[in-house]
Amino acid sequence: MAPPLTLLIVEDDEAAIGVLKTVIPKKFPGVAIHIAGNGPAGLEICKAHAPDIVITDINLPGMDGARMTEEIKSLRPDTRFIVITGYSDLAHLDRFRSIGISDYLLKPVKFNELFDAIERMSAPQ
Amino acid sequence: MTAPPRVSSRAAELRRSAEQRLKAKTAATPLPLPLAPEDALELLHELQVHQIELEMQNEELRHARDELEASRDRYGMLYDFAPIGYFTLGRDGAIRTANLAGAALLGTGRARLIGRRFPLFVAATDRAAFADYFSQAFSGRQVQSCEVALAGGDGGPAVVQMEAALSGSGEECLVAVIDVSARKRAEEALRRLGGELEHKVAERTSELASSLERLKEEMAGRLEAVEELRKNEMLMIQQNRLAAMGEMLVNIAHQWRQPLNLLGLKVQEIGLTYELGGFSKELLDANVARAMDIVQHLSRTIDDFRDFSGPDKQNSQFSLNEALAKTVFLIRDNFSALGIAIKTDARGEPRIDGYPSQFSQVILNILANAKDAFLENRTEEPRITVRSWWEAGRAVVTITDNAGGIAEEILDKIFAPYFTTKELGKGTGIGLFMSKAIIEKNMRGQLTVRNVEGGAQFRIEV
Repeated sequence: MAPPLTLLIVEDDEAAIGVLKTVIPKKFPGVAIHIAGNGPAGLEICKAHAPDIVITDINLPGMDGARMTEEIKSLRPDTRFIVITGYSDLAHLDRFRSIGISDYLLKPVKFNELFDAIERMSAPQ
Repeated sequence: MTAPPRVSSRAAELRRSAEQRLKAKTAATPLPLPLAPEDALELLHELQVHQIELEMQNEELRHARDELEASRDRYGMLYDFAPIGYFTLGRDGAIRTANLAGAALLGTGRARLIGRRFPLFVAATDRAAFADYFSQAFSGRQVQSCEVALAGGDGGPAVVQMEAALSGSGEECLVAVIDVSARKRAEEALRRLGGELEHKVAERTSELASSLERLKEEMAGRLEAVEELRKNEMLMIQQNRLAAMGEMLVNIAHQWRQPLNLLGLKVQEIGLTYELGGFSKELLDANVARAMDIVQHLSRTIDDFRDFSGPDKQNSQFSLNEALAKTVFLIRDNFSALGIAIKTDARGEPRIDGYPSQFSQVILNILANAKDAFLENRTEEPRITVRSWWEAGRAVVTITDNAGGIAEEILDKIFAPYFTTKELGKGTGIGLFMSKAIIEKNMRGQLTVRNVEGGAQFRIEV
């Protein structure tokens, strides 16, 4: 049996985190979920727990999502990312593309899209 | 009878002719001779008395003649030296006498004038008129005058006025000739001056009329320009409103993203737990309640935005800090998405009079200005501090940014209408102008700006 999937969710809306934390394990039993409210915290958790997948918002307090992603990538190149964004932030996607991130979800988040993305990322490459 | 010893030859002549007359008389009626002695004595006496009478008469006559001669000389002088010309003309027009002034008028010596015909001295053009006048004068009509030009005198051609009178004998005409050239020249000059003056007046009048016309045109042009400007201003205000609404939409988008996302998650959670396990009545109720909370919240934010951009409410007293908090709330999410930190520091409970939505508009304009400055200057760690407090009977608000400040040379222009440093299409140049108008005209306060350490500080006092 494969080692349990480890996720990091970087999001500053605690209520949203509450729902994600409840629903994702139902779809992916045994998943380990780490939570960070801002960019620097997310970076620390990556150093400590080496998550397989990082689900991150673009707008984050303290450090923007793109910069955090960049730093994590240089630290742990295997990490995969699911970027969540709103329409008005589409301009920022260029920066993500330039660091090799092409998977993103639009807000408001639809769980089936999120599940598909997690499944795609967690499949052996 | 012997003659007196100093008798002149003229007297001797007289005596001779008197003796002859006596001889003729006595021949007709001879004296009765011889005379008686007493008759002879009486006759002698008579003769002596006669002689004395004659001598006395002779003396009187001589005296009268002397007086006449003196008088004649006096009048002759007056005649000769009179300032106007006098001529005596015969029927044929020949000059019989002329005084000095008259000779001068004709430009010839007096001696050479006598006997020459006067009409020769009249200018050819006036000769017929003179002849006519001259014949009228000889016909004995009343003294009349006429004006003719002379052919030439000392001072060139002269115009003279003539007055003629027939002499007592009817054979001569006495003519007074007055030089009126100077008067004529003066009259001519006056007429010319009058004409020139009239011409000048007409010229000036027409100049004034055309100036007036130009002025009218200019005025019409200016009115048009003012109207154009007013239309432009309306357009600018309209554009500013549209820009503000666009900005509001961005603010709404940012503010709604998170609650909408959460609402979506809560609704999906119900279906997913029902499908994957974990569904319960409690979860359903909790999620529905939470979803309704979010719906209510979104509904309220619509009201907030509508309050802001809707029509002006009544002038009312409102809480400054509440208005500031509401305004900052509207843009906080948008600004935070751009990495701009907003800190508020509200002290006391200042209440002010005015239009809350207009006041919010001012705060929003200043904040939007700071945001644009941050973006343009790529400020690191952009930060805005909004402070409010009560000071000396007035409410004071300062909004301070760290976007680098405003160039000193444009510091006094940033409230001018249409002044903008932003690229074409990005700024209308009306936001700060309207802000100042709202604070200073509508709320009787003051809006000023100054540079502080690292940025600009707007200060509102109301």
